[in-house]
Amino acid sequence: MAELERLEARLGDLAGAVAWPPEPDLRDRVRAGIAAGARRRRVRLVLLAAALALALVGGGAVAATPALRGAVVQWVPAVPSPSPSPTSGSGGVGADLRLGHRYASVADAERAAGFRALVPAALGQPDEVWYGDSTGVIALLYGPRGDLPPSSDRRIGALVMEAAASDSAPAFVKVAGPSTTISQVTVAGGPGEWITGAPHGVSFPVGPDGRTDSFRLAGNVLIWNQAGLVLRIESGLDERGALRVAATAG
Amino acid sequence: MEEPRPEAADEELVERARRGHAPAYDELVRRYTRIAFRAAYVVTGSAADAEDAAQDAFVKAHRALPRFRSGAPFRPWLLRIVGNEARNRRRSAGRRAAIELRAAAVAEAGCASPHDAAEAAEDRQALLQALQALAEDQRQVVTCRYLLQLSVEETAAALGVPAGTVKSRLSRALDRLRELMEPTRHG
Repeated sequence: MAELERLEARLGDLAGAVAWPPEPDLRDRVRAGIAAGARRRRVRLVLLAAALALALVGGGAVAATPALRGAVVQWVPAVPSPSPSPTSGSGGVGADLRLGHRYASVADAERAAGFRALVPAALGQPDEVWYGDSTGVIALLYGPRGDLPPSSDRRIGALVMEAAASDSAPAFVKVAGPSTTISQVTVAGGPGEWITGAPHGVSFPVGPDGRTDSFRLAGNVLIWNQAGLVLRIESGLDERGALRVAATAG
Repeated sequence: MEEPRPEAADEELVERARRGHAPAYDELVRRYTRIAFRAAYVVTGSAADAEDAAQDAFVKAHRALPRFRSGAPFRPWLLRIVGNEARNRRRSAGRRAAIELRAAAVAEAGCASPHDAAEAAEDRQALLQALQALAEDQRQVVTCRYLLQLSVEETAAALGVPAGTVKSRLSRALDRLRELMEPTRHG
């Protein structure tokens, strides 16, 4: 053991005596790289918006309302639902909603997704956790309970859906039905939207990387950006209830 | 923008950088360029590739800041990104890493005589030669752990292997180093 300790001590001494190649000053280059990446993302967003505008022309847009910073469009649905993601064999309510693969814990889903999910403290740990490879969305599913009335799907109290946005700017574009109402709200100090009468199964882009997702429950949706994520809560909660839950996401 | 205090904690700098404060991220880059560059050098075996890998890692880390877990240590998280970038560059370069470690000329403040100083220098050189003779995976783990003075977790992050693998490789590497140093110790 003493011999090992001596060897470790000699290696420790050696640490200060190695002639490493001189390290560069990377600050200017890193700043330039960050700026170039931001420009590329802006270009992609513009292209995405242009593509959506073209789709609207072909799909029969009836009205468009300005959004806070993203584009919010009211539209008679004209695009199909996304292809179903492969579901795991483990079952659960989420399997019917094509949420992807079911995971044993939020941490497991986070590892699969490559980002950290925000779990609303007011809801606690979800009853089911899902992640869809094709959508890039982590879904936290909660059954109905005392403080969580049943949604349009009586088996579900709330569905919290989260996807990584490419940057901190709101990058989501939503499509809603003609009977939908949209109001702008503040969530976690940032802009969000409260949507009532959201149609079920209408696809919309999530972020600028071309992935799409769809509303899973017909009803009320709160959607906002936080910590680099696009989050939405689909539930039977009213606006105040949904905002209360969203305020505890972290 | 207000310059961050040099003594500001990583956590504070990360939080400010997340909010778009460029000088805060500049300070993180300045603070960790050396360790990022050297860790990348251990993996790539090329100073030029290490420089590019470290630069790209800092850019990607900045982009990933919104997903960084608040309160988590920044350095191992960064080293994981650095290690990934370095391995990607090494793969695309299609060559094996073969870093050349040399002993720098250092003042032998603790040596009683020029003879002792010469012996200390010889001892370091012998240890470096033994290190160069190790298998690559063992040399990398010893270099990260002792010469870069990374923790086991940071070494695992930089090399992209589990912490348990770091420990077992380290154990085998130290055994091998002792064998290689036998003639020196008894010579």
